[in-house]
Amino acid sequence: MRGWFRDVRGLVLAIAAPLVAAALASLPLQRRARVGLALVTGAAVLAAVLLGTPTDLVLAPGAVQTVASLETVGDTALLLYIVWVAVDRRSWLAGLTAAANAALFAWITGQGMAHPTLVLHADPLARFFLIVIALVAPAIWAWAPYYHEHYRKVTPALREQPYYFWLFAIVGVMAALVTANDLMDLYLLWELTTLASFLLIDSPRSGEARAASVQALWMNGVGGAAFLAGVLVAGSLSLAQVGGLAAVLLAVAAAIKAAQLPFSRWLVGAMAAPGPVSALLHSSTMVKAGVYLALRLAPALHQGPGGPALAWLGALTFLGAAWLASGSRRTKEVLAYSTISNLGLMLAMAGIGTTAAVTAALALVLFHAVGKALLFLVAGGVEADLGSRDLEAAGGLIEVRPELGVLGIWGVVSLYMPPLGLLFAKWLAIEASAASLAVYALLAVGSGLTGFFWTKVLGRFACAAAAPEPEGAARLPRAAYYPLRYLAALVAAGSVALLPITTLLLDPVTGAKAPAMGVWYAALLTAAALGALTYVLLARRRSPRALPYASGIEAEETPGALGRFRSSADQPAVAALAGFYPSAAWEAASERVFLLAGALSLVGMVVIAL
Amino acid sequence: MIWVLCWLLSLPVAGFLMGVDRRLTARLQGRVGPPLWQSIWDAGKLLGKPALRPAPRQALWAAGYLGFLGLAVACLLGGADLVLVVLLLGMATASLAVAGFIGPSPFSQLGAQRQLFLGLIYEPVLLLLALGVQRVTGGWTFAGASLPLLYRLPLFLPGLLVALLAAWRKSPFDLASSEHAHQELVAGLATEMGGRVLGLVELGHWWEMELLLLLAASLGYPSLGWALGLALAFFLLGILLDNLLPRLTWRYLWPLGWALGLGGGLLNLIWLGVSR
Repeated sequence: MRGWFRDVRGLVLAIAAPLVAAALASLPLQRRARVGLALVTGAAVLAAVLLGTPTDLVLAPGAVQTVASLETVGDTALLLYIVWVAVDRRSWLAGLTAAANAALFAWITGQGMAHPTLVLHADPLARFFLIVIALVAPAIWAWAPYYHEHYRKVTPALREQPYYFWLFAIVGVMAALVTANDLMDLYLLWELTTLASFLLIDSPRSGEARAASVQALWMNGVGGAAFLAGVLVAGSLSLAQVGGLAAVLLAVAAAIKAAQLPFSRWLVGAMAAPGPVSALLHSSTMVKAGVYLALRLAPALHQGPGGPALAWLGALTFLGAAWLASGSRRTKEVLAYSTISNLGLMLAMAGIGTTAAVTAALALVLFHAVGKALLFLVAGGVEADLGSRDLEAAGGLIEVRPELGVLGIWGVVSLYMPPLGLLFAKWLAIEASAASLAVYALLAVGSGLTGFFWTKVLGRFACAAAAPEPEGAARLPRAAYYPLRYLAALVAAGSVALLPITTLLLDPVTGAKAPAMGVWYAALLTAAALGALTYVLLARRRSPRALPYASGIEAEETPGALGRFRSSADQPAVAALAGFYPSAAWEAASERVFLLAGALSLVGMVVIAL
Repeated sequence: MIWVLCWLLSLPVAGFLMGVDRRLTARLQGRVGPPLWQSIWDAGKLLGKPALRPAPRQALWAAGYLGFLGLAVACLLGGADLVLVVLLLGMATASLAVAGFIGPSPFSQLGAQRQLFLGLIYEPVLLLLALGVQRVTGGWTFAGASLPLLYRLPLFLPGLLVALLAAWRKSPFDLASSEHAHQELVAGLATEMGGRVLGLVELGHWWEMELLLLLAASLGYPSLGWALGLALAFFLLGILLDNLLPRLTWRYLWPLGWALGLGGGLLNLIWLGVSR
């Protein structure tokens, strides 16, 4: 059995299983069947990438030609479809980018460049991404059917079959994407992620969703055009041989896929999509395609000015998105900005490209994927249960929905507090940026802002005073919590096993030993465990609950919650709590500043490379 | 393992310093003031008291505040990486803010939010300081310094002072909890804390103040005279400024803190880069 997974068939299974499942998922199935499908597919993909060591797929020249013709047909169909969408939606931006893509594609096809015989390249970097995808995706697949019990009621226009199809298919596409070596194959897969993104954001068919989906389409279209321009400059179709200006152009495509400034808006808009889409595509897996490509190019970028330019752009995005997250009051928007911010940090590390930097980026990818998926499932749970996407609606979550509250707190903690893994990555990242004062300063301020907004979210979840439950509040079935528990356990296991993970997964990618900070981290983990133990021993003793202090205004005594009181006009009033939010004008103005700075940086990056 | 001994002594020493602070402040205000060990007795008494709980689970985050600070002080004394020390300090103050956010009182919420602004003001400054040390010594610890670091990093002093005032809850940076009884904030983020929970936060507060004093002293490394002088100067200056300056709102303090801390630090780093 083990041997079977060890060769190329393991890799083919990892790509094919989600695609087969996608076909099955487009049938009208009951919830139980959908969950079963998710578990079986997840087990197959996990077994394929974990049990063995997937190997390269090298084809004979004739077979490569067949694959290439299939790829050309696929690309043509896809571009025609996007042109049709642009016309249908009357979006000249989408039309323009699709036309640019089509022209560049035709040009490259006309050049008749030789396709490499190495089709799928399962090196340690690809294998690392395969493992991350395989760990996270099944939890989201298994959760989606529960979420949709609720979502169906508020979104009658949703067509579920194509929706489920893409939710599964995208994982097969991603598995192929991180292993593809032929640049034109990679382009097809790249565009398929764009298409999936467009269709899934569009699936609720609301006005907001339609606008956001077209925005995602044209912005990623710009990325696709940059990608093709890079291929044209490279003059070869092998990803392994890309360098110089071509690498910089591909890095621009990667930055757009990873929603870096000034192309951050498509990912924020993508939050119009249903919960599982946000969790799978827009936080944990698909946007990581950009990070994957940047890391793949890191050695090439490292040799030219492209690396430092990408490091600057990523660091700027890290700060800018954290700033915008600090002011937002929509839960999913905060999560979206924090995703963009973290992706910025990952790209900055790819731009720096040293062993420590790449190790930091990989650890970030792993822990961010798991932690952010968990948080999006929690946000979806809040939406399903309490019917709101407002961060304030999650105020006192731990009182209203204790398990959801604990999982949400755990998810946030996993993204910025020790001893959980992401802080280790951030620490590595900050020190890896020491060579450049500008990048370091951006990361220092961004790090402060990250603490600011995460603690704010944590404070809302953990608050002991909850708003009264809204009319029509629901409860997700108990089984819906299993995927969340699984992800929470994964965070804990990953953090405890940080050293083996570094040795087994991260070091093979960089080909070097990670800096010896692991020793310190082990000490930290021990100390934290001791601290937790002390607390458990201390907190055994219970004490009575008292009323909150509100200058003695309460007229009604409700332990743990603020009561009713009589206002100065002698009218009955209810005390309410809310977090800190700046004005909308302030948010809009700061967004404009960051978009402008990002645009200048991106243009500068290409100009320097020229 | 002399640093372990130092770490074991660090908490009582910090408690004693708090007592000195209370005495000096009293004298500045024309009062006699409590005995020097009063802060330690107070904390001991608090730790022995059960808490009335308007907010459950605060104890966890209060313990986190204390625990992360204990780790940060241990790491600094043990010669660990400075970035790690600063990140741990950030986590400690974040834990304190969460403890405040748990409290349902509006005063607690307000104090916690302001604690976040304080962290935002000084965490980036201290991270920049770590880079300054790295640029001078070639490593992320003070150990490699041959001359007192102060000679190469003088412009970090205002930023460090801001951080000390914020960590010590001294005016004008005493936004989050009111150390003085005449404020609009009741007891800020500590409003809903009592007994054992308040005791944990009190001990954490000692360590937080001491950590900043230690960082200031480290700029004197390897000269013991400079180190002691800096710590003493910062300690006295903190008490003096607290009694001289009025409180300001976060709207003023945030730009002020960043201008002094980030501005000074960046200028210093640029100067280091040019002079090399």
